Amino acid sequence: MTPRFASEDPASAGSFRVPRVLALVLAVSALIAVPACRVGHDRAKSDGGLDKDKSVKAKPLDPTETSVTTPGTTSSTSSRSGTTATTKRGTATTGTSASATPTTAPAPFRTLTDVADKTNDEGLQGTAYGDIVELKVEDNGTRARVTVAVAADFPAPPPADETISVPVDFFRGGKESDFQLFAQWNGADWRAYYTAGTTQKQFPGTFELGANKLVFDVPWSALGGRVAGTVSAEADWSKQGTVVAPASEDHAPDQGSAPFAF
Amino acid sequence: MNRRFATIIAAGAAGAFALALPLHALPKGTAGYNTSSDTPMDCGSGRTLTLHGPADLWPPNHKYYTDIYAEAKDPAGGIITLDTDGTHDQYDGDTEASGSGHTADDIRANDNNSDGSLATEGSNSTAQHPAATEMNDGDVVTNWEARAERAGTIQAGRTYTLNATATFSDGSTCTNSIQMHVPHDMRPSNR
Repeated sequence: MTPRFASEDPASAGSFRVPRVLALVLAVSALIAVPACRVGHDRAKSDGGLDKDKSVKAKPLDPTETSVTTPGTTSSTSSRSGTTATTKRGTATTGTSASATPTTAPAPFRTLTDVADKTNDEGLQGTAYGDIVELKVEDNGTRARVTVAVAADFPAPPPADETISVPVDFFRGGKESDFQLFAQWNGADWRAYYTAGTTQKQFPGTFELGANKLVFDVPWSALGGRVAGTVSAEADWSKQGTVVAPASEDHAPDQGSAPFAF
Repeated sequence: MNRRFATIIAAGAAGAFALALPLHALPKGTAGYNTSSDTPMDCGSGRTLTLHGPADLWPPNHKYYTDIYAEAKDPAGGIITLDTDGTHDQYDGDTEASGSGHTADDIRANDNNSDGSLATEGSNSTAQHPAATEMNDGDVVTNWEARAERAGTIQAGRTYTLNATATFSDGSTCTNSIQMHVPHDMRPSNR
């Protein structure tokens, strides 16, 4: 008697139809779940509405890399990310030894504008690290270094239930900012974002944070070129609450924006 | 057999949806932060009134989000008057709630319309509730923009509302409305 496959036997058709049905259900589930999973993964790349892939995470600020200057003077040479003076080792070939190639030290930064902001003006519910005390813009011929200092060291890290936003806006004659450098503590990490007009683009430089300072270092080409304009900064701090949340807001300058020129 | 097969597919799809939903939480709003989608309204006789905007905005960097508009269409090409108005819920009388930034005009009609027309100020326009009126044959669009901004002191965040009323050539009207939300923070439930 020729064995018949169970599926060919009408008497056993019902019992073997179940695994086939189950396999079909699982296959359909996979087809639908995979795109849904991808939505979730794409969602993880965003920081709310910003694309994390276009942001940079904060690096620790080297306190020796920010100069203390007075307006109009030249600061001491500082080494910045991307412009660090290093000695390169040449490629070693047979019979020769590696040779050092000296590089030119980066141009020093000089202050274009240095806005002092009074302390304790961020609001009664605020915190000292939400209170801007200085906004400084420096130039080294090709790059802008923007420093925002607050009245106390940032917690390392800040609490997860706090949101700290520090937009620095550059204006080229209009009422709306033409370029924005934006730093934010989002409860998880510090990141910097860059917007040209209303469009987010890849952050074009470095972002460092340490003690009571945030430092952005970007090429002037990302800020509309090395031309005169105005600049302003804000520190927006808030904490999760119930109906009413503790929050503060501080601006430098207090009103409008501060001019800078070359 | 075909009905059985269709039943199996439907059951599989339902199961997949139930599985996918908790594993990968859907984005806030209908299309995620800073992503606009259409909210259409069928006005009858083939006419439509669509509002296009994001369900949620973040971060509160005071920048305008500009992919917002109202569009009324009449396939018969008749003249349409489109009235739009916008506001948000964080005003204390005539001023914005504390912590809303130093910027003004947090929601406004954008004069740079793609159809080349200009939005004229609507008769009911106020500083806290700007309005615009436009007219065109068959297809009229009014662009709007809203700042990603909210008062840090208000836990519920900010909600913008954009309203639109289309009046068609036969005198009939059609209304539509959308809300756009700026949350207070990025707590896990807002992500």
